[in-house]
Amino acid sequence: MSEFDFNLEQIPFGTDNFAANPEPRCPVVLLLDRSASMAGEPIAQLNAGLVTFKDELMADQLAAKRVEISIVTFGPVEIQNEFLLAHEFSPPTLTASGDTPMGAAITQGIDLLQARKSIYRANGISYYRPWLFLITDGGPTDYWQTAATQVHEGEKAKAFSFYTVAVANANIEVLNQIAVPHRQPQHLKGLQFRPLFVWLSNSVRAVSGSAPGDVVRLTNPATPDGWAEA
Amino acid sequence: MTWKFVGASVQGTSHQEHSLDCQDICVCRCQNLGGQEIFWAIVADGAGSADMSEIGSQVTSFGVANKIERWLRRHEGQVSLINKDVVIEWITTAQNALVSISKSKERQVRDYACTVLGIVCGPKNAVAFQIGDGAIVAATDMDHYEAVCWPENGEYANSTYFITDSNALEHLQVKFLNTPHKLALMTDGLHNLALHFATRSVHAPFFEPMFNRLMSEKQGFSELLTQQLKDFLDSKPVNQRTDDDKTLVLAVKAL
Repeated sequence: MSEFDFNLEQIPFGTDNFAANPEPRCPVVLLLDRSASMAGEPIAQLNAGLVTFKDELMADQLAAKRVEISIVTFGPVEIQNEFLLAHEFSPPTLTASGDTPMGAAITQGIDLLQARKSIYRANGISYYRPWLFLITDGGPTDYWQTAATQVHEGEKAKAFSFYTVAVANANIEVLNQIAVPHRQPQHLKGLQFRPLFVWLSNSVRAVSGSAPGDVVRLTNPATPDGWAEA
Repeated sequence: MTWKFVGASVQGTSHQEHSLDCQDICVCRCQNLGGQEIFWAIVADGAGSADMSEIGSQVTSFGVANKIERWLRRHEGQVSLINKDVVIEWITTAQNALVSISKSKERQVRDYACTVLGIVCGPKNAVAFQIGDGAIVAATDMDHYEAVCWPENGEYANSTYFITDSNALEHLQVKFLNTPHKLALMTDGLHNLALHFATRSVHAPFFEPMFNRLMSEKQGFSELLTQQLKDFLDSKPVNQRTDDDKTLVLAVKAL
């Protein structure tokens, strides 16, 4: 290797483009369960939902410049990608295997958000309240109590909003304890991942287009036409 | 009179679409007191989330304006006597007015939420104050523009502080400065056009042509330029960058 060879990982420019795109950012972390129980149709529908998410965000000029997606899967806990705008984001094709280290995944997601906020501040980029979006069909197989405390503290400090979607036979008792009382888990109807991601993109679009003093009203997903069980 | 000034508030396109009233307001005046000429301006921006915020911004701006006018008369235009406590008294008076109107209408005071910013300029000294977003820009020498009060948003891009907040006074910025030759007050609808957030600096090309044009006007409040300012604030290039209500006050001091 000559001394002029760059290590791609270390190139300090070209990754964030805050100068070219100084729009405020709305970071979204998807915490996705890809444990063995998601095998077959559930993981296929989840993958299709991620493609829909990208397409929906791309279709909105402002959201395309503002919403940044990061994906953490479990298990094992794996960062699929850090924060990317819709046009930079290639939806992964997830395969199902492993157990459900949900606690560690939540902590990983919160750490990613904290690091991202520091980068925004260092670059003078303003940002919206981040979203953590947990989708699972199971229950944690690791120690989850620390993560639950972090979620409750983060919500109390308004450091982020934590949403939970329970699929099929998810362990709703534990999910209820991880989520905060004013944002209890929603139960997905069947495998309606696509409507879920359309709703999610509409919601983050509404947030990312809001001005100071605006009230952002999210549509209720638990309606007959919505993706959540009432 | 040595001041030339203009000010206008224009409804944003998103508010036109939702047939909301314009929630921005500005009041500016030049007074002669004790042989001194005082220019002052107040701007308020009602919160989009608050039902009665267009009333809130009116009560706030006229309330503070009334206090300033009376204070200046009582103190014969001695701007150098204005300290932070005096500004707090002006703000508190407006807060009390907002509380009484909310009580009389059986509403919450937060229904009247708005930001407020203002400046009082004597011959030598000036005092600027602000709660929430919007900005006050001044040129202290002929070419250099600085933000005297920078927008205060809290952590998030879509949050800010309002005069109706219980801890509003904690977010009151009060700045003492030499009276600038050129100054501007704006609401957050113009942030993206007039300010550069990454470097926390003022985008001078936004202001320069307008200040230059204002310089060539006769002294006092310019009716002619008010209409032109309104047209500009409602023009396509501006509306492409913001869909919010926007207010701009510009003032220059003839040398």
